[in-house]
Amino acid sequence: MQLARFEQCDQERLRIASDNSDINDSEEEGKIVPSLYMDRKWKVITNPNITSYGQLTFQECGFIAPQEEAPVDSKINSTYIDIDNKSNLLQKEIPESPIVWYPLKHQKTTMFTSLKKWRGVVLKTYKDCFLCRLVDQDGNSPDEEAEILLTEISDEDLQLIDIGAVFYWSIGYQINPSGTRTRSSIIRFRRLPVWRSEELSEAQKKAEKTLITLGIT
Amino acid sequence: MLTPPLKEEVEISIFGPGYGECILVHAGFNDWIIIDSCISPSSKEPCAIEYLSGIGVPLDTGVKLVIATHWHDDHIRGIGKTVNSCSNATFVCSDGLLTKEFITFIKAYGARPGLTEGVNEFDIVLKSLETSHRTPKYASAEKALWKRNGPNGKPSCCITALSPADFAIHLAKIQLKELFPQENTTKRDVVAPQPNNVAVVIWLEVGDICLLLGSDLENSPDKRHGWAAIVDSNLRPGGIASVFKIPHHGSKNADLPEVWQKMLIKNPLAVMTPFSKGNVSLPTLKDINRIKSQTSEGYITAPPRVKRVKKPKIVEQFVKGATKSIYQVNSFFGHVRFRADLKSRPIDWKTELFQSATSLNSLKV
Repeated sequence: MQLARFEQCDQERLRIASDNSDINDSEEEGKIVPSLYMDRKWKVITNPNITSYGQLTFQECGFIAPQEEAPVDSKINSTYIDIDNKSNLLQKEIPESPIVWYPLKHQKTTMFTSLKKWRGVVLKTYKDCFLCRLVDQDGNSPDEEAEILLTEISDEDLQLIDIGAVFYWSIGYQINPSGTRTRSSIIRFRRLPVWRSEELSEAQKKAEKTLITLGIT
Repeated sequence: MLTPPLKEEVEISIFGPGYGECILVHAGFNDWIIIDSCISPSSKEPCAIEYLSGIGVPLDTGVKLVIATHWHDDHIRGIGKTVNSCSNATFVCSDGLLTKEFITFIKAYGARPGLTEGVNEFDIVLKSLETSHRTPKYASAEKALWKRNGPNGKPSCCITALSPADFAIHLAKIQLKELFPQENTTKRDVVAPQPNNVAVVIWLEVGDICLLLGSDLENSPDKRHGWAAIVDSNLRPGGIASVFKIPHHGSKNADLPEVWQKMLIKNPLAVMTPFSKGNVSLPTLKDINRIKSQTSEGYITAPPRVKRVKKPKIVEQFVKGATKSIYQVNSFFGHVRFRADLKSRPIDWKTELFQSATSLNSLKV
């Protein structure tokens, strides 16, 4: 069994980071609820309130414990995810951990209040910037096209910049655990998975069926 | 506005941009042709559907052809719903697109809703055609797409594709093959490749009235394709057009003087939609002046450059700090309508402008 861990990217997104190098990191958008994952290769069996995750990462064990739930030790098993078994996505019971878990103190998470959020797609890359189309996630403003400076992008995201790459740009206030409010602009690129041979074969099968149905030779 | 044309009237309606363009042609006698699609900003419906429904045209029997001149987002938004609604219309697209490679590409990306709309729209079109057992038609240079013979006093009508040329189809197939994802490559949005080799230019004749609808076809240094190939072709239909949908939003690289000289009447009705990409807005002032030197009857569905809608101060501060430039995609929407009686001679075109549409002469650039 392989384990995955969750990391909270911001208020609305969750990154699923795998310790298995064969499985790419993935990042999902929107309000995260378990049902969203049911159709996917990840199964989340945990509390639906995703904002309660993110701070307490037990990376050596590959999971994040809920924060404001019952004591961590009673919840540990429920945060494991089976990502080996992609087909039926069954949760497997984990044997009792030999590690002694100490009760955790309540910790506040960093909150982010978004004033504006765009979904962006890279259209062209330049030496010092990239051209992208920005679609307002609230649907209130018309689409925009911007040349964003590379200096705005984190080192780990720079390598993801390519034509067609998808990112999210949030501008708003970050409220730290201490209560301090800071203005913040966050650009995060999606860690999209790779094309699998099964998906490509499936597309070819569908195309062949379409060609026959439509009488295209 | 919402008055249908008379049975013996020809109508050309150009909508856009919102984001994109759409052309509707009434070839007389309740035969309608839809070319490309864009979304009406007010109703969020495909504007062809909105307009035709508004004037009481039955979509299932009235629309004969739905043509997708190419698969770029700005020409195809809402075309899936349009093909679905016009249940008896023949769907036409470029010969370069009806290949196994392109359809496989559509099937791979189409399973990922939320990504590039051009791909998703095409996927909807294919599904609709499959469900209704309709066979699409390939468009290529000098190929007739639809014909109405003219008995009982009806004027004949013939729609012919003037592009893509065979060589362009060959280039398009190579280009589209490269779009197909390789195993273990990262999934990304699809950005349409340039140049656009698949654009379908339409020649439409109703009686002795001819229209030239230029799609986004550009010039090419290679005379085997592009506008030069059309002008040089001795197989294209004869006649000269009195209405010209200016190609590629009036850009210089889509303008060939020989088209004005050999394929159009003097001082034709000319119409275009604006377009913006980053800091490029089409048509430019130079483009407008060049077109005005060819015709005094130039129209555009909306002004080419729009001012950005300002966001809250804090957002603007961050945007200013993080970007080299930022431009709003043209969100104005307009409608240019030409109507003429099929019988009265000389042809007397009546021009009507709706919403943001304006004439090039009155445009303040």
